[in-house]
Amino acid sequence: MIKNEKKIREIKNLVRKLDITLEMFNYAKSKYEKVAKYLEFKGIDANVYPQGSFALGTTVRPYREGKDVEYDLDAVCQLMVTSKDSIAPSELKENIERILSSKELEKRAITSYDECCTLEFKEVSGFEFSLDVLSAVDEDSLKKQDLLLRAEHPDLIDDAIAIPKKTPNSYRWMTNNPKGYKIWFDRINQKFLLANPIITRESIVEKYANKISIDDIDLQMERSALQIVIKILKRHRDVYFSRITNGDDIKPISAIITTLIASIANFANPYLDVFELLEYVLNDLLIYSKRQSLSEFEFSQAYNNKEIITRKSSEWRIENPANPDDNLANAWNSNPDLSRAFFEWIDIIISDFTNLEKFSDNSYITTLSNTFGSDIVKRSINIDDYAPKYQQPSVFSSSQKTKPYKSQNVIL
Amino acid sequence: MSFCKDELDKIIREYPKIKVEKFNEKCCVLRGSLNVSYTEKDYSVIEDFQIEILITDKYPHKVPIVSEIGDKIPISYSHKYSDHSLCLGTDIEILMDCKGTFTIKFLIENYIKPFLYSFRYYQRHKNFPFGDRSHNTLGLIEGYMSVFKVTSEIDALYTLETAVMENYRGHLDCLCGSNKKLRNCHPVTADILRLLKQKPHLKQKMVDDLKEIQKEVKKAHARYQRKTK
Repeated sequence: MIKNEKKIREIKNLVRKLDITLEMFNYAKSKYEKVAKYLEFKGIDANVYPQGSFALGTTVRPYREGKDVEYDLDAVCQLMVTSKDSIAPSELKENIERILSSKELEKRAITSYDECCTLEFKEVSGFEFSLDVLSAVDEDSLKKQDLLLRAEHPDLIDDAIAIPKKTPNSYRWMTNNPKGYKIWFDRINQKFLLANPIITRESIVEKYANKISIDDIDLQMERSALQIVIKILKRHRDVYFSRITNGDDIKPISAIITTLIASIANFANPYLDVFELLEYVLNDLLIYSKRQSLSEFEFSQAYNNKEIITRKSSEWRIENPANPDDNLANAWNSNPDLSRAFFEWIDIIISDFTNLEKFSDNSYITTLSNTFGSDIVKRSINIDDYAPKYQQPSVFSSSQKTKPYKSQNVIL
Repeated sequence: MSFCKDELDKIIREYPKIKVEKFNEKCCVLRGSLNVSYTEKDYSVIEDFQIEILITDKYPHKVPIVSEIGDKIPISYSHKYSDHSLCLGTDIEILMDCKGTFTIKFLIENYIKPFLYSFRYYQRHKNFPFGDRSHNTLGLIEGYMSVFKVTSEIDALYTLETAVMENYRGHLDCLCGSNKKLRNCHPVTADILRLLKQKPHLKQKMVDDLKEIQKEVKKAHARYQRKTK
């Protein structure tokens, strides 16, 4: 895909700039640790831990309406002693949110949503972020036994939790397993980290001009080729779907992107570099796109051992490796636009990276900006290296925003 | 040919990659490379397109025919004709946009460049950055809704009928039945009617468009009659 050494360095550098910094990471960590300490102080035995991209090291700065905006980080607040049988899901959510509303936590605001509550924190060194906190208890043993029977990875099931899920009139319990998912992901990622850590500890120390020592650095700050590929695709998704009609509704969720890439990468050579791995993943996804047109039988005849995305009796399925109850592609089955949008997006990514390798002038800068956002490109790339006479494109005035037309009645 | 040498010289100076291929009493053909360099919603297009502009002797009362001759825009593109000419917008919007007298520069900056940009934007995102007009008669009516600044198709049709049938007079009562004077009640419509008096070619355009719309309405009615029999 990208073979030019300079471009490889630049794009990696660009993606690194989208990551949370060590400072941000420590600040966010201090916040959820503060929540845990406060609960302990209140006599509540709770485990507060990051989930999602925060836990997996795949965070990218969100992009909305053409701008890079504040980070959304996710955490779980799991009450350890309370059992699922002893409390209603709505009560659990209310209790935890009441505690989190306390002024002791020094937040700017707390907002309750259907599935979680969002804590917004004050800006620190230009870093603003919000923390989405999910309330949870341990899943009950009956449910865990049921999951074990169907689980692809039975050893992950013990970490399953129950979270309050909104229904039209109230709440019910839903199974989730962020801890188990992280274990699954880390197993695959470890291979890539050991083979080829992208940001080694030494280079981080260099970056911070030796103000910190190696021991200060959390293992979390190392990034493998797998993590960088995931970040690239998440960012590409954010920018691309920001201009698609109903983009927010049809864009692939991060859980799908992360699960697919990690599952596919599991079969790849862990010594692959970022763009070799990206190419490997995209080639596999191109094969899976044939499931749109081929029947189950035709697909299995043509391709061996491709079960990460399945489509039995027209039902799309991408199994959450830590929770057999969770079909990540569930929404694809109620809205055909989603699967179509996903595979069309894969085509666009391939085209973009092909063009990025091909061009080395104005077009390279333009494609890079259209792919990742112009702001981050300006902050990461020395544009003069490619197009010394590069001029920023103009913005349309309102009188220029005209609408094309077509009539069949035109006399030519 | 009311397309004069002065304007031609201005265009050649302003767009040095565009050349005059033909210039006589009947028509003028410009051909060459046009650079589009714009960004909208953080999506940039910086690209050269090969275009041809055919200016007839009816200029500036008739919109020149603009074609993309570099084979970048496929015939299947919903706003390109099979002869490679581009449908930049409804004629009435283009003509009214510059109060009935336009220049080639106006056409290039306000219609051709945005069209070419929109094409690339559409290719990637499957939607139009500034919207587009529906095809055929409905698109025509939408154009009139924009020109008359009304929000319903019925209001646009009614205003169009009035523009065609009435001549502007200062004391004309408003068409909406408010008993106020048109110039006070619906000044936009008053301005347009005043303009039509000065620019008979615009009025003729509206007459032709109204005829076309009425023809289509009749056809639709006939189809409906056949269906319900």
